Amino acid sequence: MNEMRQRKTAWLMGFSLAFLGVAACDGGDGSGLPPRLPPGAIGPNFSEIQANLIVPNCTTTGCHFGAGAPQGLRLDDANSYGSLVGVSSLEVSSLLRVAPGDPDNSYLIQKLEGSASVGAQMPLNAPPMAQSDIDVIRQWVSDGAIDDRVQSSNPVRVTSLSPIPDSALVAAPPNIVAMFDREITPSSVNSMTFLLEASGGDATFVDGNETLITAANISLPAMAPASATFDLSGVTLADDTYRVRLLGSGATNIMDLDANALDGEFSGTFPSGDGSAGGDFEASFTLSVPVSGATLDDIQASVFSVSCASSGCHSGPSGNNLPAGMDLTNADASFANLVGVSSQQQAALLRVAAGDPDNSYLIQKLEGTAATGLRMPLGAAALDQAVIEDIRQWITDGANR
Amino acid sequence: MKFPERKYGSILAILTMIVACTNVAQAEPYIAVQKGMQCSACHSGPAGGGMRTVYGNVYAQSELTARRLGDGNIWTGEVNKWLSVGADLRGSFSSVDAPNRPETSDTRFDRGTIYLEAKIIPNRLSIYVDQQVVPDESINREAYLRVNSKNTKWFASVGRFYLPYGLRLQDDSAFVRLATGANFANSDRGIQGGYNSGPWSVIASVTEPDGGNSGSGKELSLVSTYVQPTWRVGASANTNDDDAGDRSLFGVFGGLKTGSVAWLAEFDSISDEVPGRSTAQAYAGLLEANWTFRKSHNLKISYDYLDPDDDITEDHQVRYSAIWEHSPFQFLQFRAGFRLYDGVPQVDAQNRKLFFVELHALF
Repeated sequence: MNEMRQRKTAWLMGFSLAFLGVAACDGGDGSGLPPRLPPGAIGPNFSEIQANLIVPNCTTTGCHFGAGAPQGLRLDDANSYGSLVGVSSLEVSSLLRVAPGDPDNSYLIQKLEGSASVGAQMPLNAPPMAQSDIDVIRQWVSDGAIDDRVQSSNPVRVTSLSPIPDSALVAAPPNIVAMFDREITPSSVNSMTFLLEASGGDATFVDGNETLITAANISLPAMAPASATFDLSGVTLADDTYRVRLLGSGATNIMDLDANALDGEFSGTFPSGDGSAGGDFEASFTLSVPVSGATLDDIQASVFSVSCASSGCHSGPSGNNLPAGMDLTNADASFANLVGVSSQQQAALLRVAAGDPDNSYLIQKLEGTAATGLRMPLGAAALDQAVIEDIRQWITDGANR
Repeated sequence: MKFPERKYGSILAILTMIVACTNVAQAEPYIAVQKGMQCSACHSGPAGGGMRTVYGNVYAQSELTARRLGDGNIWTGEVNKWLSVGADLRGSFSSVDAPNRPETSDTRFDRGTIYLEAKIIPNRLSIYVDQQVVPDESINREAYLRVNSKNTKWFASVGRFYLPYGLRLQDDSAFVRLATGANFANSDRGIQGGYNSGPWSVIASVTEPDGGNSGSGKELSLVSTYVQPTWRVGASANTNDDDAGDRSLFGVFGGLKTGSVAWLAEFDSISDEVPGRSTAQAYAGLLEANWTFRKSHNLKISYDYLDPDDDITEDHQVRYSAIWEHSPFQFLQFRAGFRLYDGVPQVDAQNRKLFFVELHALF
């Protein structure tokens, strides 16, 4: 009996030691694999998604790899795109695994986000993929789920433009964004090929008075390499008609990664093109920014009539006798006595210099910064700065009647 | 359907004798090793898994549990001589801590499964269904028609079933089950046949993978086990003929009982033809020790190894697990465990820590 127990103990100890010996082997250091990309560095194109998201999460566990992969979904490099894009899900046959342009109805996205009606969230038995990574896949699907590994011989086309062609804007856009049907060679998009012109006020682009607008920056966002952005940060656009040009003709033109030139001809519907490489994309929009601040009538009613004319000071008639001569009793009189009229106290300054509130004597008197005389309204409380700001804005907007 | 308690001892003895004599059934791996039986002793699946047999139900309510509540009757699963039913319900709480990510936790109803077996001609012809009914939409896991020979040593079945390959582990996330695809999430359609007699069990199948293969190729699987009271060895093979790239699996596995500790081991070689490159070779392994330190208390320590591509250096992953399993009373099992994953630093999920608690109701 003791001998049997000793034998069992020996076996147990032997296997325990063997177990510990084998288990001393820990995980790999990854030296044979590509280095890890920093957060946000994965672009929404299939080759980067395959290498950095699909392979690490779906195939290196041994699941979606090889013949007999679950649901027939082989996600190795050779089969992944063909198994995903435009292929019906086996679990929910009414949905495509990847529906180009429609991430919400792509079963892949539903499985990754855990919203699918069948089965478990993927990756199976592992923590969900970070939403920022799923968003990269979403963006790729939204962009048309293009296989960027396939060399195309077709010319690249413009698929959308913001602002929308022929739109009438009431505010200056922060940027101009052109979308293409595939990834663009970054170096081909620059100030020579992505142009914005102002018509010079005549809504035409043939008479030589056009002005080229200089962008703060022209770039291809890493998150959307099938688009180009003309950044208008810090750029003032006056009311005018503008034309966007993307060059597909000439020695310098926009090209895709396979050096196919832009097929740019635009007849009002997207995508652009006439089927042949070459041709410039041209579309225009108008900008007319309404006066957003107070009008002279507003200022007359809230300021001049109640704080300047009613006290018997600037009450007219118009003339050189101050204060009555600077007649502010009604809007017409105020306009006539203020806008473009030299100050009597500071002859170098206009009472109101249209577009230049800092050098308008009216503002200096209201803010108490004038070199001569007292702050207005005389003998009364100073106006709220918010009210003065309204007057400043009216002047900035052109001090219109 | 229920046995009076006073008859329990004799029935259990009879059932054990029947099982020992016919070897029709097999059990869950570590328990099967402890008992020196095959997996189908406790489960209706010829290679294990699925509905519990009469013996499996009796065993679960007596030897596996700390105590029995209620009136002492034993649930056998048999509604009558023609119909058996069963079910599994699993719920869990888990907490995952992976590098560069916020720690997350989740409480969920993992799976509710019902089993039905219609014994059209008892011991000779039956229809079996394993259907997941919750959560979400219903999923058929197994459904087949099975014919047994007169002496029950031979069987053949047609329908949907789990592939006969390797150890039929409960844990689908074990690398040997993930990498080979022979797991409870991956049943296929086809025909299956086998032979069980004495210490030998051989099961083979020809199946059509879900989603189908490119071309007309089929998947062939084979598992053979030799069982002795304190040890067992087995071998598995699988080949899948697919125009998009064939796959071949080969595995060996075994079990050994040393006192109150049951050891399990499996090693698999996985070869995939991948278009555009040479054959990709992967290896997966499992070492598991189960220490039943007290009745109904099992401490499971396991080590998983996976080299997903032999051509790439230092890309292997390992997993360490420590799990306590306890059945406080019949029909209920409690599991609490910790898993430590150690993989390449490029993939956060391969370096996660997982803590989980599971409740498993079964009958």
